[in-house]
Amino acid sequence: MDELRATFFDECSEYLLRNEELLASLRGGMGGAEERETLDAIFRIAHSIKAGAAAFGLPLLADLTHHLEAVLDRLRTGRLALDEVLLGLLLQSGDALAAQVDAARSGIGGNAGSVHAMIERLSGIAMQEPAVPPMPSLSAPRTVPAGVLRRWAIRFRPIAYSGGNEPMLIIRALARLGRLVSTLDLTQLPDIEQFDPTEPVLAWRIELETIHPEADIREIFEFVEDEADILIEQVEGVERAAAPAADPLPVPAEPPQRALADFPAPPAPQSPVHEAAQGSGKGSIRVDLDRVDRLVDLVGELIITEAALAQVCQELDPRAQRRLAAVVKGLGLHSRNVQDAVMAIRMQPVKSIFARMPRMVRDLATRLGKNVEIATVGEMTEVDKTIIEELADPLTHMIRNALDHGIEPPADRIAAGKPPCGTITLSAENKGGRIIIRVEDDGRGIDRARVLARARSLGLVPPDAAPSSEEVDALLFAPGFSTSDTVTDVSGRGVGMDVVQRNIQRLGGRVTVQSEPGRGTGWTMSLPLTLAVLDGMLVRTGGELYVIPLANILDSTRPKPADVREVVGHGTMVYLRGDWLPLLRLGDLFNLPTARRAPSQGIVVRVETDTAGTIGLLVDELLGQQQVVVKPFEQNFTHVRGIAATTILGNGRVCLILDLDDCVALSRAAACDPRDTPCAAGRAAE
Amino acid sequence: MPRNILAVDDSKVMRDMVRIALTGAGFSVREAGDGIEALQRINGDPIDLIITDINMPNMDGLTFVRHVRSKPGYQRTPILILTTEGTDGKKAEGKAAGATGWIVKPFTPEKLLDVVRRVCP
Repeated sequence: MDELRATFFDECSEYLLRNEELLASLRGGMGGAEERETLDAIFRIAHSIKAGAAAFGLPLLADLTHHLEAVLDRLRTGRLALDEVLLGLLLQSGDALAAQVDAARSGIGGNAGSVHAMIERLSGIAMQEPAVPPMPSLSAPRTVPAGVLRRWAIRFRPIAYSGGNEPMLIIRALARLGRLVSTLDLTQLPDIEQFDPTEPVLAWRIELETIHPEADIREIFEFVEDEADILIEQVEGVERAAAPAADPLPVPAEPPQRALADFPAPPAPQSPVHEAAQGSGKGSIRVDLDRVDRLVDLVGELIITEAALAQVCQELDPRAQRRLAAVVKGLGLHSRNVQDAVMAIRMQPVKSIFARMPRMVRDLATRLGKNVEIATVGEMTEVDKTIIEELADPLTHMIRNALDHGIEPPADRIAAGKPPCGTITLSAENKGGRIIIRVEDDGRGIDRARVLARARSLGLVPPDAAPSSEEVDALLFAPGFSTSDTVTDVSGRGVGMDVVQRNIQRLGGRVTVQSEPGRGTGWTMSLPLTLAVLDGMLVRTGGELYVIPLANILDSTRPKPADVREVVGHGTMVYLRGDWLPLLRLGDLFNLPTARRAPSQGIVVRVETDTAGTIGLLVDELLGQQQVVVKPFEQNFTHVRGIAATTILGNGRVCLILDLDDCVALSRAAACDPRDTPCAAGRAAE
Repeated sequence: MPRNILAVDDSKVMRDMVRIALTGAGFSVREAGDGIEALQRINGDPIDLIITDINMPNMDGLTFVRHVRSKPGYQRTPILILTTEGTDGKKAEGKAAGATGWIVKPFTPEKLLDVVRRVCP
């Protein structure tokens, strides 16, 4: 509780600073909607402090804010006009609040006299208006059991269903007050032909023996007062001093159809308040996310400046260069450390989203009549906060998919010789500067025949084409694709895997699917750890500069002419490190006519891709390794094929960062021209 | 499996109070600082009960409640509004927006738990 108190005081200080700023901005006289908004903000501050003060037992502070709030409420609703005098008073009341907060924080009483004077002045302002209702007191005991056992007869008949009130819960709440017998009244139940499921038809007769006063009983019905006929009457002649109720309640005239007291009651509360220990660890501070983002931006600028400095250094005469180079190197080391430290602030374990999934799986499995367990692996893997937030939806979608389409009903599983309980494995790991998240199930796998048939009927695949298994699987990512004939509320929500893929791509990630009939399906998402910086290799092709993510690069070389061959059906192949690899010419990909076409004249970079394994990428020359600050495309650009993002180099030049898997997809699409044929779309999604 | 409660309040202290009171009683509490953030949290996350303040920046509590009620699958989710003005006006406004009930601030953890139990199994 002390920790909570400390947080409250910190929050008060923040509020009061903000209060002062807002009041100062009012002084200029703004008028109109802006003034109204500012007053609203100030009102919220008073409101928040008041609520906290009351909860922490600080009556003076609560009283002061209560009266301040009353004045502010009149101001913001236009019942009171803002003038210099009033503004002065508001500023002074802010000071009084600050003094009171300080006094409360240090545990010293503070000057009660000056607070009361301020309260008087504030209530004086509101004189013309009806008096400020007194502050509801927290210390007033909520319920005073009267000590007398009374019997109550209650009739409860809901007349309208409203937002979320459940009769059963109300009856349970009543049962917590004493001994209860409830009888369900079905007399209003119409014939099945006339039954309207939107109209309530049930009523309850409840007998309750309790020592609580009538107000406590009424309180339980307070949310449904306007939506139910409620009759509460005391049954005479059973009043007596509280004692263990020895004699049983009389049996109701008709046997109860259903005694709600028999419903399993929720477990009794353990200690209702776990004090402290829940808050953040020792010595932590709350920082506005905007500030962290600003810091990340600034570090980005620092890295760009450092790159510029390194470039200038290259142009100096050798002696000066040598001296400066050592300093630049040190600067690089430090800025790298600063960057790591700043990034670490934004990193969070994926546990926060993984932890939500078991419950969803359980609920869904129950609804689908399936038996499913979820296992999570690597939940402490850390990733940037932005990415975590964006992961929840795709992950939810994939798991829904696995539950709905992947895992079979228990009977089918037993027939297939599998354990009746299906398993969904959710795993996260760091790999090569990226986070890999997998959703795997041990279900029936992708029904490729069905997918293909569906794709043909949707016109996604020409009737004569015979796509490979991988190409069929990739069709799941095609826009508008769904094998479900009926829309279920589980996975047929009108959001397909294409949306998932697009969302992941927007984050610079990729989704792939692997499936084995009868054994299960696995979805793999590969995402950058952070969206802010990237280790890259700067390359030049046809006069243009590109950045290849360093994480994808294995090595680079200039092959001998003999090591390059044209292979029918496979395009150009190049022999590198004992392997024939497909060659991708960057110049061809982006239509750069001046790019070198012969691998023996350029440089072949051996890169790893998720979708095509290791390939050779032909560029004109390598310019050097560099850390670049990722600047996402502005929102008015759509997804540009082959490009992940942009960056700004040390010399101020804008340069494109390659998305290698998309480059591969793009080249395949170009190879099976005309572009954007269904075949190309299918391959592109691989 | 603990019930998931979403606590929406621009004051961290209020959220903490709700969290501590309810976590101790076996609920799992998520937090959001305003209506807009809360709407984002709701997507893809099963929520059994929402507790929201009314006065908040960006999107106030009543607007938030109306948004929640217009979402498919959230018509019957219990929503409690936190109100300091214990006036019937605010309660009626909340009811009209689709709230299930209300909790009048200041409240004790016991009181909060009491009301929560009345609307959430």
